[in-house]
Amino acid sequence: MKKKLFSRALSGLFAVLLCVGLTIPVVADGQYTINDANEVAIPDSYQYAYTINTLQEAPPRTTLTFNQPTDLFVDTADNLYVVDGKNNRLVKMETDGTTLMILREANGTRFSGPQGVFVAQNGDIYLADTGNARIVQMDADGTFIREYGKPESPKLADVTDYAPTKIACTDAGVMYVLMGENIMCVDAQNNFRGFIGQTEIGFDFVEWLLRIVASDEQKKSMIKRTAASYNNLLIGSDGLIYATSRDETEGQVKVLNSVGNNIYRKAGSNASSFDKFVSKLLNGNVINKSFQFGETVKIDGKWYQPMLEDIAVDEQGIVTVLDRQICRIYQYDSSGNLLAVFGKSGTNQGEFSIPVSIAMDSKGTLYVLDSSYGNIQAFKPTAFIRLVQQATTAYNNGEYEKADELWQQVLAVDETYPLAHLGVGNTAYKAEDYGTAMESYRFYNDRTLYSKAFAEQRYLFSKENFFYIVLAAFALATGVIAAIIWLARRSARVLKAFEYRDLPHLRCGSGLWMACSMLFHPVHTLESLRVSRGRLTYSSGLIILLATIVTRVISIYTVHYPFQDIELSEVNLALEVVKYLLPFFSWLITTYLIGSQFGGESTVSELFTAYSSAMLPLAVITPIMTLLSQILCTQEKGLYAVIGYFSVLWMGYLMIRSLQVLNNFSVGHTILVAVISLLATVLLWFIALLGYTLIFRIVQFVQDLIQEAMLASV
Amino acid sequence: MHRTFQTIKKGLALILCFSLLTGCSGHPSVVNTDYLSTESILSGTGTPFIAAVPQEYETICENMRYQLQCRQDIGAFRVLEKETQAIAWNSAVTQELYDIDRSTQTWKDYMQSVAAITYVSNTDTRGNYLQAYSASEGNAISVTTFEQGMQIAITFAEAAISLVVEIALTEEGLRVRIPSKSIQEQGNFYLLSVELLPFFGAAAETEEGYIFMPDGTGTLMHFSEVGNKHVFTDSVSLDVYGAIEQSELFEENQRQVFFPVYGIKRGDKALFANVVAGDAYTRISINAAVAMAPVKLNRAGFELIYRHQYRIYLSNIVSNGKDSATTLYGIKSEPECIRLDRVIEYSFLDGENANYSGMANQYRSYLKENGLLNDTQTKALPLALRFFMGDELDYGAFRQMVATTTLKDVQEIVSAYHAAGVEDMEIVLQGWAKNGYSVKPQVFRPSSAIGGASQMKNLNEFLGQTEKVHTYLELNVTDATADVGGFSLGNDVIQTAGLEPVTNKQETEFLLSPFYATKKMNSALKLTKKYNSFGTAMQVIGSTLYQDLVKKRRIDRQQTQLQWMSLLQAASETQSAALAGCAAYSLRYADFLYDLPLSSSQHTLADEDIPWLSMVLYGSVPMSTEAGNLTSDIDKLKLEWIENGSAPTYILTKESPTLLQDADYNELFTSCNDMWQERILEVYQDMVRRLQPIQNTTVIRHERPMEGVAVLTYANGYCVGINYMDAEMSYGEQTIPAKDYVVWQEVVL
Repeated sequence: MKKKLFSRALSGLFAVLLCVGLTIPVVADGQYTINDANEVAIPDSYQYAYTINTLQEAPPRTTLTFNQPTDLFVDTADNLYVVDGKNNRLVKMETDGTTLMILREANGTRFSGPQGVFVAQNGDIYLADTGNARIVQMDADGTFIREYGKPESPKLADVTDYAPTKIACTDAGVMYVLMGENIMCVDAQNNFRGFIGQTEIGFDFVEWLLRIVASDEQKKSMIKRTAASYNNLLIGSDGLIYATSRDETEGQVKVLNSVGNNIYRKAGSNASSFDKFVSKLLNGNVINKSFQFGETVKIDGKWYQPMLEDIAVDEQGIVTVLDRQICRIYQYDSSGNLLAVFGKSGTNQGEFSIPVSIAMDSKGTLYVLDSSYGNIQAFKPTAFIRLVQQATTAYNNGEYEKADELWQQVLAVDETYPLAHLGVGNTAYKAEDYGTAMESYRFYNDRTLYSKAFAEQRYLFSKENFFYIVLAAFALATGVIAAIIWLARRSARVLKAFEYRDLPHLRCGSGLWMACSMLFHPVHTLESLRVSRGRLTYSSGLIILLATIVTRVISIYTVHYPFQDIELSEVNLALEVVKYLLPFFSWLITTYLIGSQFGGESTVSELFTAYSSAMLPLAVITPIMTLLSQILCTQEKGLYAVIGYFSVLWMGYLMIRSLQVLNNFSVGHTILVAVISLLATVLLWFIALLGYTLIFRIVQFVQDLIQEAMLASV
Repeated sequence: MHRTFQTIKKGLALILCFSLLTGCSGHPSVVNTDYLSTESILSGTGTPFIAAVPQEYETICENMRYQLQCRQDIGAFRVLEKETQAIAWNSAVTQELYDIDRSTQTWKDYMQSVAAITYVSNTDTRGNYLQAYSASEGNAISVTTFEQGMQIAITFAEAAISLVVEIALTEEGLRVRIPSKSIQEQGNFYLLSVELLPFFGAAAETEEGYIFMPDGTGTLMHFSEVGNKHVFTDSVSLDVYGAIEQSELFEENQRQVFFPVYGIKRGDKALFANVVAGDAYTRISINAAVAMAPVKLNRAGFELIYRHQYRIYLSNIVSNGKDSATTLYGIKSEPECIRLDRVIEYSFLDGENANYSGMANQYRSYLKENGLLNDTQTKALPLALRFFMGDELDYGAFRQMVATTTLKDVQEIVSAYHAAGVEDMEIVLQGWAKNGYSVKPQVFRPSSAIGGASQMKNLNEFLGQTEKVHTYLELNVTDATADVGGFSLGNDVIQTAGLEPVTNKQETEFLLSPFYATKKMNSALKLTKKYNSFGTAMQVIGSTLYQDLVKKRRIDRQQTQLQWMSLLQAASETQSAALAGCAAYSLRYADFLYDLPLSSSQHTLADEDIPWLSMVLYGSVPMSTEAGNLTSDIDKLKLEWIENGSAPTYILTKESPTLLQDADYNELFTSCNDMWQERILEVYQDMVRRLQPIQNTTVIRHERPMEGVAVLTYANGYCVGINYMDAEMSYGEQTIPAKDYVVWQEVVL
């Protein structure tokens, strides 16, 4: 059992160390949405309709199949345009696959490895003829209009291998061409108008540190960090640029305005890690609702970020993106809320191998182009997703009553749909029904919104019961003061008795009172301990340690929902125990050993008694914080955090004081020993980790040997 | 020394073989069909004697309808239809069917073969598979005849592997058998599988017709659509009763293949193949004449598996420690081959029966005549309800069962439906055991959160008074999940012969050894016998076979099949039994089938899903499929229920499924009975009223005369027309409203 507990603790510790920030979604069989990294089953959102494998009614002697097609576009008349990469052609077809037009050349030059197509509102076709380093403009009948090579600009002097891949175009003829981490803007006269949309690479502390210490030669050899590159882009009917990128910080889906600012939901902040640390320090360690575009997945033991290859957007701003890596389609509303996830890899109908492009027609049917299968698969929206789209659109348009009605309809067919609960919560909040709002927000697992509703509820409650609240607060304050005075007096009496040897030996109870007296008279108490060698007990210290852990565990399960610092399903009891005991005993051992090298006089029992007594502030303040959290909302999380830090600082102060007084060190000596002990603690952990790794390897080797031997006998 | 001995042995065998074969060559003669004699024929490596036998087809035997003819040089045969004097079916591809000369010699051999084998060197660890074709030059083939057929003894020269294919003419068609004793491996190669009659019934790309595949409900690959398929995807393999390879047991996209059958329709004729022995190790292979297929023929056949392979872990010792971060694997074959007689019946259908309806009728007759179907004669349409009782929530430090429905709730809900006029109900209780639905292995004790033993007793008494309400406690005795424990990875879960536990990619799910499952089942049956108003509902057992290859407790699929059958027999002897699935071997024990599919797995080669499964089973055993409350289109699902012979099905809870938000099982998104009861009653009562004439009968024909319309014809002369379209449709004299169905009497019997 102990072994199991230890291994759980270790595995939990390593899991925490290794997997911080990673989401671990569970792959469901059916369609789903994601709420806070958890999959939630939903009714079918899109249903497979049909596949176009070959060109229908194509002219004679035409290659009827696609060969590694690269891009797909649906124009306003619902015609499909397929860039047939390896066949070096552009195919225009109806949605049933009937061929309308096949283009193989423009301006006397055959297409060479084309990769992108865009069709303007007026029907003009823009083809990124990548191999020929040009963009070709043709009219709706395929008649050549103009071609655009690399624009002339000194800013493009560095661009030696100009090869346009993906392209989008405004009604005014302004072209946006994908250029790695930039989107190049070119006007209708092929004048370079600048780059837009570059992702900020942010500040990297490690790199900064390395650059300080590195020589010039080393600096040259350091890899230059570049911004995340774009994968595809599109101009929506609202004139905004919808793009997918590899930006893991801000998010892989971006909606850029004309000056290139991302106005879409951001999955994360690209603030520096230092800023993030400070923010966390000020706000305390509470859970925020997690969100990312796509999913981070584990494939064959390695974690992969989403690879959102292409994007489609409808008139209402509903965004659909395609993950090429895991063959999945994600749909978001205009605010970036995830509506549905579907699609998978496989050989069945509706499954993909290497999906490279996605497009949507005016009826909402999605078309997915698969480069490997060389086909287009159509998916029709179900009544359910239409209802969801209507509801979210109504809400985003400010039609709250209509939205609420629609969300209620959604809940009638899917009681667990997270966005519907958010919608209902928002409506209830506006109607000042904060109880319902809190319930809905809690289901949606949004602590900030819950807390906002809670604050309003609390305000209403306090307004109605002001007198009783003041009375209760007064009574509580009086009670607390009285309790503190009583504790101080009682502990002082025990201390005195111990000093005057009325208490020859500390027992469990008296040990606890001594610990209590350390809160009020730390130096006095510690000096008493120093001169009482052989009269101490371990039992009270163990009880305090146990109480600290127990109060922490109780706090985890009872703290007010917005102040939870760990999801309940992720609680690892063994890890919680280790989190307290490992630093405690490491500190105990190292300070004893290092202290003794510096002429320290303390014994292990003295240090243990003193250090365990120093833990008392944690054991006392944690339940107080838990109680206090019940009436606080996240706006007051600073206060909550300060109380938490106070308890830690108090404990730290008592520990340092213990080290000083018990060893009879000067202040300077104490600081020196404390710093060396901290470093020794880190070293100790490192050695333990190394030992664990080595043992693990040896065990693995022995297992290999046994397996070999057993296999030989099979 | 050893080599000399081997040479002498081979020489003696050769002489013996030659002397026997010379007696058999020339005109076929009737010989003893005892396999002892066959074995003696096969005991040599074989000498080519193709020149000694004629290359023309000769008549072997005949019955009232057919004549069997054989070409002795390559063992190819054909069936002549006596009435028309036309060659109806041919094992070898003819020049008229396909321009064989366009193909390579290997393909020519393949197309002429009655058997093709896949084999591998007995020292191979890299999966270097080899293939051999019976018609290839150098192989030894001898044909001996008996009264109703012939035996073709084949020795694959390069592989030094021999086998006998016995072909007998029957009234319906052919009965083909490969006796297990006839398989001999005399060299350094292992036989992996045998493709039997790979081109029997093969059709040209221009022909009219289809191949029927028993994938899910059943599906058709129309020859006319093959040209529009993905150019490279030319085949699909269907493992009967679940993946045969252990490594594939946890793969996504599992195809549900409940019956070891397939069918080919060519013009006005059809061929229906049914494995009657050895089904546990049968794979169905379908090949399509897609644009890039090496041979433009549409064909289907059985691949009979003869040996297990398994992954071996090549540790750092093997890889010389070069890459300690990468785990290397190899493939090894078990030394023993699977000794199992394989018997396949081919039925030739013509006229009105030459279609998938005829195949379904044929198969139903086979099941009934052989006592393989529990013909419960359903008299009324039941309402199929599954109550989700609860699941455990993981709070990290502890787990707690959350009850979504208590046993008392079940009693109240059932009473409410009963009071509303629903008399016939098939009810399955899921997640009733101690730790809820997801914790496996299950602890078969009623969870206290749902009411415990006392409420179970009350419900038992209540159910005892309701005659037409059949309630089943769902048991899962095969699955195990890692995070809960309660089982041993070394002793209780199935492993490969390489001693690796068989698991999913996350290493969280396992399958319990059939022996362990039996123990669990016996303990579960003790409990269910205590509550005698309940039946048992079993997951996995009615659909999937698997093997445990650890030496000390080795059990193969065939033995697992027998084990499952004995469990089912034990369960059905005292109480009624429901199965989640309908594997052919389990049907004789099933009183109710639930969680059946409503479609195929929709492989890219499939064009049209058909309700073949229900055409076989409808009228014999009540069935339920997908839940009406978990669909995005209930109107469509209602029609699919009718087309697939399914009872209206719902998964219900008393409480809101939002309680399960953080549970391991969170697939329910709407199930609260209070929200659904009215709608359920409305749908059910409408179906009961309108479908009354087609209860207690069988489906004899299914067709789709136009897009979006299906017409089912029943044995009692009634028809049901189903219209999936948004507009009213006409069929004959019938007008079928949009998204609706009509029932009419076609023939008064």
